[in-house]
Amino acid sequence: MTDRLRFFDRFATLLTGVGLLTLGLLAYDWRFEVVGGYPSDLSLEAVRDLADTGWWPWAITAVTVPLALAALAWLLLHLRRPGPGTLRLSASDSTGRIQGDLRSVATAAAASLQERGPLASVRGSTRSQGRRTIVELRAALADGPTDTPSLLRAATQTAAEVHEAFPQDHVVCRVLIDGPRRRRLRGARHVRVQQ
Amino acid sequence: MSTTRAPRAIPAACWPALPIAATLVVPAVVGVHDLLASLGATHDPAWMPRLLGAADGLGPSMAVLAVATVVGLTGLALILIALRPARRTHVQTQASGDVWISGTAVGALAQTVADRFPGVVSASLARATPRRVDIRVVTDGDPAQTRTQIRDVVTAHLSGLAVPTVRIRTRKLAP
Repeated sequence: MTDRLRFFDRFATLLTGVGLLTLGLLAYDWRFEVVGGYPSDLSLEAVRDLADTGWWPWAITAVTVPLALAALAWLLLHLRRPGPGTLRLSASDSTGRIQGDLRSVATAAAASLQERGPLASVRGSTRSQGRRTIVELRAALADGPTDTPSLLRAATQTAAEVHEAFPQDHVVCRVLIDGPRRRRLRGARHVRVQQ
Repeated sequence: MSTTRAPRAIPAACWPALPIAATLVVPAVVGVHDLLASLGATHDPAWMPRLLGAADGLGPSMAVLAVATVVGLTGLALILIALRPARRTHVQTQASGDVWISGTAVGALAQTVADRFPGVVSASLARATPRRVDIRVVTDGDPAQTRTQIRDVVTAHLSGLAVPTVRIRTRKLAP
Protein backbone atom coordinates (compact mmCIF):
# COMPACT_ATOMS: atom_id res chain seq x y z
CA MET A 1 0.00 0.00 0.00
CA THR A 2 1.55 3.28 -1.07
CA ASP A 3 1.71 6.41 1.07
CA ARG A 4 -0.53 8.17 -1.41
CA LEU A 5 -3.23 5.52 -1.08
CA ARG A 6 -3.04 5.61 2.71
CA PHE A 7 -3.43 9.38 2.65
CA PHE A 8 -6.38 9.15 0.26
CA ASP A 9 -8.09 6.54 2.44
CA ARG A 10 -7.67 8.75 5.51
CA PHE A 11 -8.96 11.77 3.63
CA ALA A 12 -11.99 9.90 2.28
CA THR A 13 -12.80 8.44 5.70
CA LEU A 14 -12.43 11.85 7.34
CA LEU A 15 -14.58 13.55 4.69
CA THR A 16 -17.29 10.90 5.01
CA GLY A 17 -17.18 11.17 8.79
CA VAL A 18 -17.53 14.96 8.69
CA GLY A 19 -20.38 14.65 6.18
CA LEU A 20 -22.30 12.12 8.26
CA LEU A 21 -21.77 14.05 11.48
CA THR A 22 -22.99 17.22 9.77
CA LEU A 23 -26.10 15.44 8.53
CA GLY A 24 -26.83 14.13 12.01
CA LEU A 25 -26.39 17.55 13.60
CA LEU A 26 -28.51 19.18 10.88
CA ALA A 27 -31.34 16.76 11.62
CA TYR A 28 -31.20 17.69 15.31
CA ASP A 29 -31.11 21.38 14.43
CA TRP A 30 -34.06 20.82 12.13
CA ARG A 31 -36.02 19.39 15.05
CA PHE A 32 -34.96 21.79 17.80
CA GLU A 33 -34.05 24.85 15.63
CA VAL A 34 -31.04 25.77 17.74
CA VAL A 35 -29.04 27.55 15.03
CA GLY A 36 -31.33 28.21 12.06
CA GLY A 37 -34.91 28.09 10.91
CA TYR A 38 -36.15 25.31 8.64
CA PRO A 39 -39.42 24.41 6.93
CA SER A 40 -41.48 21.97 8.93
CA ASP A 41 -41.41 19.32 6.21
CA LEU A 42 -38.90 18.38 3.55
CA SER A 43 -40.08 19.55 0.12
CA LEU A 44 -38.57 17.79 -2.87
CA GLU A 45 -41.13 18.96 -5.40
CA ALA A 46 -38.58 20.79 -7.55
CA VAL A 47 -36.28 17.76 -7.60
CA ARG A 48 -39.16 15.42 -8.44
CA ASP A 49 -40.11 17.66 -11.36
CA LEU A 50 -36.53 17.44 -12.61
CA ALA A 51 -36.55 13.65 -12.20
CA ASP A 52 -39.56 13.49 -14.52
CA THR A 53 -37.68 15.17 -17.37
CA GLY A 54 -36.20 13.19 -20.22
CA TRP A 55 -32.60 14.28 -19.68
CA TRP A 56 -32.49 13.45 -15.97
CA PRO A 57 -31.55 9.74 -16.31
CA TRP A 58 -28.80 10.66 -18.79
CA ALA A 59 -27.39 13.36 -16.54
CA ILE A 60 -27.45 11.11 -13.45
CA THR A 61 -25.78 8.29 -15.38
CA ALA A 62 -23.14 10.64 -16.79
CA VAL A 63 -22.22 11.74 -13.29
CA THR A 64 -22.53 8.51 -11.31
CA VAL A 65 -20.96 5.99 -13.70
CA PRO A 66 -17.52 7.69 -13.85
CA LEU A 67 -17.71 8.06 -10.08
CA ALA A 68 -18.43 4.35 -9.73
CA LEU A 69 -15.56 3.45 -12.05
CA ALA A 70 -13.23 5.66 -10.03
CA ALA A 71 -14.47 3.97 -6.84
CA LEU A 72 -13.81 0.52 -8.34
CA ALA A 73 -10.30 1.61 -9.34
CA TRP A 74 -9.80 2.88 -5.80
CA LEU A 75 -10.90 -0.54 -4.45
CA LEU A 76 -8.56 -2.40 -6.80
CA LEU A 77 -5.61 -0.29 -5.68
CA HIS A 78 -5.92 -1.97 -2.27
CA LEU A 79 -5.02 -5.33 -3.73
CA ARG A 80 -1.55 -6.37 -2.73
CA ARG A 81 0.90 -5.87 -5.54
CA PRO A 82 4.49 -7.05 -5.66
CA GLY A 83 7.22 -4.47 -5.23
CA PRO A 84 9.68 -3.47 -7.95
CA GLY A 85 11.25 -6.45 -9.69
CA THR A 86 14.16 -4.74 -11.39
CA LEU A 87 16.26 -1.68 -10.79
CA ARG A 88 18.14 0.29 -13.38
CA LEU A 89 21.62 0.62 -11.95
CA SER A 90 23.62 3.83 -11.88
CA ALA A 91 26.28 2.17 -14.08
CA SER A 92 23.87 2.47 -17.03
CA ASP A 93 24.72 5.10 -19.59
CA SER A 94 24.02 6.02 -23.18
CA THR A 95 25.88 2.95 -24.41
CA GLY A 96 23.81 0.46 -22.52
CA ARG A 97 21.45 -0.28 -19.70
CA ILE A 98 22.24 -2.43 -16.68
CA GLN A 99 19.39 -3.74 -14.56
CA GLY A 100 19.49 -5.53 -11.27
CA ASP A 101 17.01 -8.32 -10.53
CA LEU A 102 15.79 -7.23 -7.13
CA ARG A 103 13.55 -10.20 -6.43
CA SER A 104 16.43 -12.62 -6.90
CA VAL A 105 18.52 -10.51 -4.57
CA ALA A 106 15.75 -10.54 -1.98
CA THR A 107 15.37 -14.32 -2.25
CA ALA A 108 19.11 -14.91 -2.00
CA ALA A 109 19.44 -12.53 0.96
CA ALA A 110 16.58 -14.30 2.73
CA ALA A 111 18.24 -17.68 2.23
CA SER A 112 21.55 -16.30 3.46
CA LEU A 113 19.98 -14.82 6.61
CA GLN A 114 18.11 -18.02 7.42
CA GLU A 115 21.32 -19.99 7.11
CA ARG A 116 23.20 -17.66 9.42
CA GLY A 117 20.69 -16.90 12.09
CA PRO A 118 18.59 -18.87 14.57
CA LEU A 119 15.49 -18.33 12.46
CA ALA A 120 12.60 -20.56 11.48
CA SER A 121 11.86 -18.82 8.20
CA VAL A 122 12.86 -15.74 6.25
CA ARG A 123 10.91 -14.20 3.36
CA GLY A 124 12.39 -11.64 1.01
CA SER A 125 10.41 -8.98 -0.85
CA THR A 126 10.92 -5.58 -2.40
CA ARG A 127 9.13 -2.29 -2.02
CA SER A 128 9.59 1.37 -2.85
CA GLN A 129 9.70 4.17 -0.33
CA GLY A 130 10.03 7.49 -2.06
CA ARG A 131 13.16 7.38 -4.19
CA ARG A 132 14.54 4.44 -2.26
CA THR A 133 14.16 0.80 -3.09
CA ILE A 134 13.92 -1.46 -0.08
CA VAL A 135 14.85 -5.12 0.00
CA GLU A 136 12.82 -6.30 2.98
CA LEU A 137 13.63 -9.50 4.82
CA ARG A 138 10.90 -10.73 7.13
CA ALA A 139 12.31 -13.24 9.62
CA ALA A 140 10.47 -15.43 12.12
CA LEU A 141 12.30 -16.57 15.23
CA ALA A 142 12.77 -20.27 15.75
CA ASP A 143 11.24 -21.88 18.80
CA GLY A 144 13.61 -22.38 21.67
CA PRO A 145 16.49 -20.33 23.07
CA THR A 146 17.98 -17.71 20.78
CA ASP A 147 21.31 -16.00 21.21
CA THR A 148 20.47 -12.34 20.67
CA PRO A 149 23.97 -11.13 19.66
CA SER A 150 24.27 -13.82 16.96
CA LEU A 151 20.79 -12.98 15.72
CA LEU A 152 21.64 -9.30 15.38
CA ARG A 153 25.03 -10.12 13.85
CA ALA A 154 23.40 -12.29 11.18
CA ALA A 155 20.88 -9.58 10.35
CA THR A 156 23.52 -6.86 10.19
CA GLN A 157 25.87 -8.91 7.99
CA THR A 158 23.11 -9.81 5.55
CA ALA A 159 21.95 -6.20 5.30
CA ALA A 160 25.53 -5.05 4.73
CA GLU A 161 25.99 -7.60 1.91
CA VAL A 162 22.93 -6.29 0.11
CA HIS A 163 24.15 -2.74 0.54
CA GLU A 164 27.57 -3.68 -0.86
CA ALA A 165 25.89 -5.17 -3.93
CA PHE A 166 24.39 -1.77 -4.76
CA PRO A 167 26.97 0.76 -3.58
CA GLN A 168 25.78 3.69 -5.63
CA ASP A 169 22.11 2.99 -5.95
CA HIS A 170 19.36 3.87 -3.55
CA VAL A 171 18.87 0.35 -2.26
CA VAL A 172 18.44 -0.36 1.42
CA CYS A 173 18.08 -3.75 3.09
CA ARG A 174 15.67 -3.78 6.01
CA VAL A 175 15.36 -6.76 8.34
CA LEU A 176 12.17 -7.22 10.33
CA ILE A 177 12.32 -9.81 13.09
CA ASP A 178 8.99 -11.30 14.14
CA GLY A 179 8.07 -13.79 16.82
CA PRO A 180 7.84 -17.53 16.25
CA ARG A 181 4.99 -18.63 14.00
CA ARG A 182 1.97 -20.44 15.50
CA ARG A 183 3.20 -20.15 19.03
CA ARG A 184 1.00 -19.23 21.96
CA LEU A 185 2.99 -16.80 24.05
CA ARG A 186 0.25 -15.67 26.40
CA GLY A 187 -0.31 -18.21 29.13
CA ALA A 188 1.76 -21.35 29.41
CA ARG A 189 -0.18 -24.46 28.54
CA HIS A 190 2.04 -26.77 30.48
CA VAL A 191 3.77 -26.72 33.80
CA ARG A 192 7.25 -28.09 34.15
CA VAL A 193 7.83 -29.66 37.53
CA GLN A 194 11.38 -29.79 38.76
CA GLN A 195 12.41 -32.27 41.35
CA MET B 1 20.87 4.91 12.26
CA SER B 2 17.97 3.69 10.15
CA THR B 3 17.47 5.12 6.71
CA THR B 4 13.90 3.88 6.31
CA ARG B 5 10.75 4.88 8.12
CA ALA B 6 9.52 2.77 11.01
CA PRO B 7 7.35 -0.16 9.88
CA ARG B 8 3.71 0.51 10.56
CA ALA B 9 0.52 -1.49 10.32
CA ILE B 10 -2.21 -0.62 7.83
CA PRO B 11 -3.94 2.51 9.19
CA ALA B 12 -7.36 1.91 10.69
CA ALA B 13 -8.79 4.45 8.22
CA CYS B 14 -8.12 2.07 5.33
CA TRP B 15 -10.79 -0.37 6.50
CA PRO B 16 -13.85 1.93 6.38
CA ALA B 17 -12.49 3.27 3.09
CA LEU B 18 -13.39 -0.04 1.43
CA PRO B 19 -17.16 0.08 2.13
CA ILE B 20 -17.13 3.82 1.39
CA ALA B 21 -15.73 3.06 -2.06
CA ALA B 22 -18.27 0.27 -2.55
CA THR B 23 -21.11 2.62 -1.59
CA LEU B 24 -20.12 5.00 -4.38
CA VAL B 25 -21.13 2.31 -6.86
CA VAL B 26 -24.76 2.32 -5.67
CA PRO B 27 -25.78 5.66 -7.26
CA ALA B 28 -24.44 4.41 -10.61
CA VAL B 29 -26.55 1.26 -10.33
CA VAL B 30 -29.63 3.42 -9.68
CA GLY B 31 -28.71 5.81 -12.50
CA VAL B 32 -28.15 3.07 -15.08
CA HIS B 33 -31.32 1.26 -14.04
CA ASP B 34 -33.38 4.44 -14.41
CA LEU B 35 -31.77 5.15 -17.79
CA LEU B 36 -32.71 1.67 -19.01
CA ALA B 37 -36.23 2.19 -17.64
CA SER B 38 -36.55 5.50 -19.50
CA LEU B 39 -35.44 3.76 -22.73
CA GLY B 40 -37.98 0.98 -22.20
CA ALA B 41 -35.27 -1.64 -21.84
CA THR B 42 -36.76 -2.87 -18.59
CA HIS B 43 -40.33 -3.24 -17.36
CA ASP B 44 -39.29 -2.21 -13.85
CA PRO B 45 -40.22 1.45 -13.15
CA ALA B 46 -37.48 3.95 -12.37
CA TRP B 47 -36.21 3.92 -8.80
CA MET B 48 -35.24 7.56 -8.32
CA PRO B 49 -38.79 8.99 -8.47
CA ARG B 50 -39.88 6.38 -5.89
CA LEU B 51 -36.99 7.24 -3.58
CA LEU B 52 -37.71 10.96 -3.90
CA GLY B 53 -41.39 10.34 -3.29
CA ALA B 54 -40.62 8.44 -0.09
CA ALA B 55 -38.42 11.28 1.18
CA ASP B 56 -40.73 14.11 0.11
CA GLY B 57 -42.76 15.48 3.01
CA LEU B 58 -40.48 13.95 5.62
CA GLY B 59 -40.46 15.81 8.92
CA PRO B 60 -38.12 15.86 11.93
CA SER B 61 -39.89 12.94 13.58
CA MET B 62 -38.47 10.68 16.25
CA ALA B 63 -37.68 8.07 13.61
CA VAL B 64 -35.69 10.65 11.63
CA LEU B 65 -33.87 11.66 14.82
CA ALA B 66 -33.08 8.06 15.63
CA VAL B 67 -31.56 7.57 12.17
CA ALA B 68 -29.75 10.91 12.49
CA THR B 69 -28.28 9.79 15.83
CA VAL B 70 -26.89 6.63 14.27
CA VAL B 71 -25.60 8.58 11.27
CA GLY B 72 -24.00 11.23 13.47
CA LEU B 73 -22.31 8.72 15.77
CA THR B 74 -21.04 6.79 12.76
CA GLY B 75 -19.63 10.03 11.40
CA LEU B 76 -17.92 10.77 14.69
CA ALA B 77 -16.44 7.29 14.79
CA LEU B 78 -15.13 7.67 11.25
CA ILE B 79 -13.49 10.99 12.15
CA LEU B 80 -11.72 9.43 15.12
CA ILE B 81 -10.65 6.44 13.02
CA ALA B 82 -9.33 8.70 10.27
CA LEU B 83 -7.22 10.71 12.72
CA ARG B 84 -5.78 7.69 14.52
CA PRO B 85 -2.10 7.16 13.66
CA ALA B 86 -1.00 3.82 12.26
CA ARG B 87 0.39 1.45 14.86
CA ARG B 88 4.11 0.85 14.81
CA THR B 89 4.73 -2.86 14.39
CA HIS B 90 8.48 -2.94 15.06
CA VAL B 91 11.10 -0.81 16.79
CA GLN B 92 14.67 -0.38 15.70
CA THR B 93 17.32 -2.45 17.40
CA GLN B 94 20.66 -1.09 18.46
CA ALA B 95 22.41 -3.07 15.73
CA SER B 96 24.01 -1.10 12.94
CA GLY B 97 21.96 -1.01 9.79
CA ASP B 98 18.25 -1.29 9.37
CA VAL B 99 17.21 -4.05 11.78
CA TRP B 100 13.83 -3.92 13.50
CA ILE B 101 12.12 -6.22 15.95
CA SER B 102 8.49 -6.78 16.90
CA GLY B 103 7.03 -6.94 20.39
CA THR B 104 6.13 -10.59 19.85
CA ALA B 105 9.75 -11.43 19.09
CA VAL B 106 11.01 -9.54 22.14
CA GLY B 107 8.44 -11.33 24.27
CA ALA B 108 9.41 -14.73 22.87
CA LEU B 109 13.09 -14.12 23.61
CA ALA B 110 12.34 -12.98 27.15
CA GLN B 111 9.91 -15.77 27.93
CA THR B 112 12.30 -18.49 26.78
CA VAL B 113 15.05 -17.17 29.05
CA ALA B 114 12.72 -16.85 32.04
CA ASP B 115 11.18 -20.26 31.46
CA ARG B 116 14.57 -21.98 31.53
CA PHE B 117 15.84 -20.21 34.64
CA PRO B 118 16.65 -22.57 37.54
CA GLY B 119 13.83 -22.79 40.02
CA VAL B 120 11.17 -21.60 37.59
CA VAL B 121 8.14 -23.87 37.28
CA SER B 122 6.43 -21.86 34.58
CA ALA B 123 6.81 -18.50 32.88
CA SER B 124 4.03 -16.88 30.89
CA LEU B 125 3.99 -13.67 28.97
CA ALA B 126 1.49 -11.12 30.29
CA ARG B 127 2.46 -8.36 27.90
CA ALA B 128 4.96 -7.98 25.11
CA THR B 129 5.63 -4.78 23.22
CA PRO B 130 8.97 -3.67 21.81
CA ARG B 131 9.30 -1.29 24.76
CA ARG B 132 7.94 -3.38 27.59
CA VAL B 133 7.88 -7.00 28.58
CA ASP B 134 5.81 -8.35 31.50
CA ILE B 135 6.36 -11.93 32.54
CA ARG B 136 4.54 -13.91 35.22
CA VAL B 137 6.69 -16.53 36.85
CA VAL B 138 5.81 -19.36 39.18
CA THR B 139 8.81 -20.50 41.18
CA ASP B 140 9.55 -23.02 43.87
CA GLY B 141 12.29 -20.77 45.27
CA ASP B 142 12.29 -17.37 46.90
CA PRO B 143 10.00 -15.16 44.78
CA ALA B 144 11.77 -11.85 45.49
CA GLN B 145 15.24 -13.19 44.79
CA THR B 146 14.07 -15.06 41.71
CA ARG B 147 12.38 -11.91 40.41
CA THR B 148 15.56 -9.88 40.66
CA GLN B 149 17.73 -12.57 39.11
CA ILE B 150 15.39 -13.24 36.22
CA ARG B 151 15.02 -9.56 35.48
CA ASP B 152 18.80 -9.15 35.32
CA VAL B 153 19.21 -12.20 33.08
CA VAL B 154 16.39 -11.21 30.75
CA THR B 155 17.61 -7.61 30.53
CA ALA B 156 21.10 -8.84 29.69
CA HIS B 157 19.72 -11.26 27.10
CA LEU B 158 17.74 -8.50 25.40
CA SER B 159 20.65 -6.07 25.28
CA GLY B 160 21.21 -4.86 21.76
CA LEU B 161 17.52 -4.80 21.05
CA ALA B 162 15.19 -1.96 21.80
CA VAL B 163 16.11 -1.94 25.53
CA PRO B 164 12.62 -2.73 26.74
CA THR B 165 11.48 -2.31 30.31
CA VAL B 166 11.36 -5.75 31.87
CA ARG B 167 8.86 -6.45 34.65
CA ILE B 168 8.80 -9.78 36.35
CA ARG B 169 6.02 -10.84 38.70
CA THR B 170 6.73 -13.92 40.73
CA ARG B 171 4.70 -16.12 42.98
CA LYS B 172 5.64 -19.20 44.86
CA LEU B 173 4.37 -22.54 43.76
CA ALA B 174 1.57 -23.62 46.05
CA PRO B 175 2.44 -26.71 48.12
